Amino acid sequence: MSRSLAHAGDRRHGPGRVILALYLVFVIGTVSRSAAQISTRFSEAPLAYTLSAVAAVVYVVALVSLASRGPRAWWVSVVALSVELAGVLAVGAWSYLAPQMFPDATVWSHFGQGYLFIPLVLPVVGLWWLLSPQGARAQAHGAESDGVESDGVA
Amino acid sequence: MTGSSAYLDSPTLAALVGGLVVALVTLVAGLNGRPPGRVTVALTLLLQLGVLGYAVLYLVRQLRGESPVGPAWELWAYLVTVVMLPALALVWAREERTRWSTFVLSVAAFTAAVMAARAAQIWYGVGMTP
Repeated sequence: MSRSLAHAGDRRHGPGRVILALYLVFVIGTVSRSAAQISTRFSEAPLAYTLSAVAAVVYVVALVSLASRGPRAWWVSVVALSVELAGVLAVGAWSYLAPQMFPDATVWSHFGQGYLFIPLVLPVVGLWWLLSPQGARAQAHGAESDGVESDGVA
Repeated sequence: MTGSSAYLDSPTLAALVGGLVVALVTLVAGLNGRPPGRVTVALTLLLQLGVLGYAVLYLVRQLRGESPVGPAWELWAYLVTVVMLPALALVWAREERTRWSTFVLSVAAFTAAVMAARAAQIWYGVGMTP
């Protein structure tokens, strides 16, 4: 009850700001890296580079949706972050089981080891943030929901 | 990654250690719940000047006719990003004066430090994909 309603529906402020900053860094990193890989040496490691491009797209979608207001953006964020988490888990496991298929690293290889495991932690933290009372409130804000997912549940 | 640390010349070491120190100080300030204050903003400004000088150093090297072992465009992609990071974080810190902006300063400083070191790796050709 005492929770402040400030920034409801807006995930660009508060803790969301830090998450957004991290996503911005990953967008810059993955988009430029995959553009470089695909334009200069795609044939060397087509699988790894395709996965790099997929990761880049996922990060862009996550960044844009996290920076947007409203319930639709919230849903897009949840899906993007879930895909991201599934991706880092799948590619992470895959890169250990079949290293010969990954002659060059992707962001998600070895669970994001080359990036201090931030690719693994980021979607978990992001999903927690989206599903936490702040995030859930953000979803309720602007939607027609009438307190079904009230703060008391969480 | 190769184990070689030959790329750590003194400017790179300064950028790396300086950035990490700023990242640590701002992280601690954020954990203490402080919004961006005089010290954290000043440190980030100092880092901004430092990375600007660092980028100018590479510009001078290139103008002198030296060239990186790795691709030049990749080097500059890193350097331009490094120069933009602290500035962007400071703009955010002005917009929202909460502890979270202090964490953003920390993220920016850490990323700038690592990317500055990576730029040096590209210059010396350390850890490049063959």
